[in-house]
Amino acid sequence: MAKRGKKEQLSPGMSALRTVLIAVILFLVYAFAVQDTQINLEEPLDPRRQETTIRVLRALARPNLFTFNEEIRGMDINIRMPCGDEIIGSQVSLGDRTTTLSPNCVTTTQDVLTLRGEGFRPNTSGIIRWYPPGDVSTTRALSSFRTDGEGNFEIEFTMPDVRPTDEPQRIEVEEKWQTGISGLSEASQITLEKITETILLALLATTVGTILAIPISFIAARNLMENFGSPLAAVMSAIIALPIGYFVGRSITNLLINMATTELITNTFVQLVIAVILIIAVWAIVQFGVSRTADGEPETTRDRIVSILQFVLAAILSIFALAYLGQVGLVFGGWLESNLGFLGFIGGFLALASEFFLIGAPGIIGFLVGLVAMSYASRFGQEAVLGLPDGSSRILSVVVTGIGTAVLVFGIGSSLNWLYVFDNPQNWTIIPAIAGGVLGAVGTAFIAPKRLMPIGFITYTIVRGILNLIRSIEPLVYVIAFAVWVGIGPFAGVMALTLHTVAALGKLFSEQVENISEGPLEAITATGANAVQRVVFAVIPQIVPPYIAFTLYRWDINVRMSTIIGFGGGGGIGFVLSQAINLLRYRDAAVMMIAIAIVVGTLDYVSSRVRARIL
Amino acid sequence: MLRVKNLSKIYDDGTQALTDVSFNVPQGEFLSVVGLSGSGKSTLLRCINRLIDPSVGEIWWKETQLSHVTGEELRRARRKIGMIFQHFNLVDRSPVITNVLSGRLGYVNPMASVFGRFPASDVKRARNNLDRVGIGDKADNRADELSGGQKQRVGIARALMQDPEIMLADEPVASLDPVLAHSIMRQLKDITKEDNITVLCSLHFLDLVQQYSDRVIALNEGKLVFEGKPDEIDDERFKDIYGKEAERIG
Repeated sequence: MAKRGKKEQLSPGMSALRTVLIAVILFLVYAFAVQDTQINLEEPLDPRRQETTIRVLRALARPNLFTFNEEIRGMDINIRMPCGDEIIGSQVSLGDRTTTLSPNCVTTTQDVLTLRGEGFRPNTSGIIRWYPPGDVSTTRALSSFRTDGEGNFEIEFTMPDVRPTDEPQRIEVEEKWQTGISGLSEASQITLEKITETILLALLATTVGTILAIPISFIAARNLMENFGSPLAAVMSAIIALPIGYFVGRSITNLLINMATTELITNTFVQLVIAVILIIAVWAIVQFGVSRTADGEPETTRDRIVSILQFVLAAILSIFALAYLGQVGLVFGGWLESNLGFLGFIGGFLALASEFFLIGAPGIIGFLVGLVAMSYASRFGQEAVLGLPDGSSRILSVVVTGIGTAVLVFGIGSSLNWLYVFDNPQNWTIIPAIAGGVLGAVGTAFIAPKRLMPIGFITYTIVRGILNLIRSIEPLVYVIAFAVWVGIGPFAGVMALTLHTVAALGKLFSEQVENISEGPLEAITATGANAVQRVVFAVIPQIVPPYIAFTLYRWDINVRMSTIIGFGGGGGIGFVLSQAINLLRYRDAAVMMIAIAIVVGTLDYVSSRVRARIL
Repeated sequence: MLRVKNLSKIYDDGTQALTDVSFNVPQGEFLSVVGLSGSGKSTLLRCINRLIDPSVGEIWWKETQLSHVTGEELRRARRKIGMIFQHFNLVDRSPVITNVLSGRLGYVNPMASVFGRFPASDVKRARNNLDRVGIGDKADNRADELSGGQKQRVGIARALMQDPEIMLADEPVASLDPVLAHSIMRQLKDITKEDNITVLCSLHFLDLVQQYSDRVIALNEGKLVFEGKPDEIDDERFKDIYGKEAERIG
């Protein structure tokens, strides 16, 4: 307010001066911008360039959509090489058509011949070709013509070569015209195939991206996160627990999958039976075994231990079952792929999914175990620190923070070392970790151990920052990196678009979460619901319509992006479009542009209709 | 017995919402909280179930120090404290029955509830509670199809699902017309008396206060300015509570 007050006190003269100054600065900025972007008149007015441009535009205006039935009609006229003493012209008539060649001989390649035609098909193109003596199979094109409205033409040409013979040589005058569409051109066929690929590419990227973006959007929503506070010791326990949980989970899963895949049972049928038995066992444990308390009162310690053991057993059996199922899927999928004909892709998908599980499961399950370990460690850390008397909780806090900081610094140092491959890795990993740990521990001694750290807000800020960073780089750039990793083609395009979709939707979604009405959230919180229940009961019902709307909108964007992502090596229509442009096949390029326009337009219309219906 | 001792709340922006408020509420009592808008009524109620963390002071319910519990303990404390709101705070896009069942979230198996599965006994209870507030036929309607009075009844049914020992009512009838207001207040009073629930209810109109509450406290700019029987509020006290310019209308 104070600032605004000051501005209003400017005298009229000062005010005018300020306006002029702003105008001058704007003028300078725009003038420099014009120079910097190399805007000029010489190039666009250059006749040669204009001619080329017009040619390109005319080619683009005649998209190479179809192949045509053609009718060809030819007639022959004789020519002599070399000329005799007497030089005359010759005339041939065939039906209505009359062709006159004068002179009817050449001696050198400089001699100009004139060919006149009358009574040909009006407004039709044709070519003149020569059958050189001796060569039976080859002809030489001499010139081309186009008849006028009456079916007449006259052209001059020279012979490219002179081959003296005694016999007259043959020149053919051939008309060619289109009588109807015979089918799709090659460009159209490629376009159809590639535009389908493009739409599916966008579909996959949007689907996977949306699924990943939904949980991220909750973490990136300020209103959900900023109230989470946790004592330092709890935060640090979580940091220590994550890598431990990850390695334990990964190793155990690895071990289980190896046991399931390398043991004696290799018969697919037996594997299937085992998998089914295991699944039934897991279902039985979950259904009957886990002790539940109906009124929700605290369970006894024994019950709790039994329930944890049951859960662990169920998890181990599930991994076993999935490992066997994965192998069965691999074999069955391969069999389907080779026996299902054009539906073989179903088998291929099954085999790929099974393979993905067998390879990816240790990492994914390890990560999940890490998250669970984090949550437990954080809870125990919090209960311990808040439950203990001040002195003990301070000691606990110092110890845990020391170790936690060391783990954190070691993790960051190791990542840097992985990236830069330092000469003395211990200078970047162990030494700073120990130093950081000691510093962290000492620093913690001066902090009230029970004070809550705004860990929710910190997490929110970090996640938002990462999302913004990823979002700021275009998929066209990502596709270059992914093409190096997985090869040029639509797979690289899917990955690039997915990455960008996660970041973009994560941000858009989280803004929707921030816009929900707080009332229901407050009411659900007041019932004693935990964080997950709050999200499921108070947040999700409110965000379903905007999430669907944004997902459709994103599919729309992804289809548009996937049309250009091929320029970077991402497959789809963009790839063939860039090829067509680089090979100067503008009529083919025009077909692809039309396809893109139709698809984007249709999708835009459909998604706006669906959105209108949902909102 | 709910005991509030020297309670103060200073918001992060420096607003002093409550200053040194102390009072007791015996079990089963219907206590009204009156005061102008911004006098701290909502803050006071939200401090009790910790939707807002108090800055200074203590709140005790029986043996639990409500003002200092955290984590699991806080969840367990909250589920015994029902709350209804001026704007009902239903999840509009969910069916009425889901809204009512969400009152059980503090009790049920969290995993099962996330997948929308509630014990059959809870579903039965939810229908009973809807019958109790007189809108049993609306169970499967979407919440946003209901009228204001019906929405508040759903709010009451949801709070009842918590088996509450305390009921916090934050201006429960301020968005309703006078006829509905009396009907809802009557229902709230009857049900809480039947179930021996302690009620803290913030209200605007003195006729509602006098008709339904056992006792009343008044806040002015975050300070407790009156504590006593509803009929003790005479003109002089009224001006203490609402300021010198105020006129009695209700």
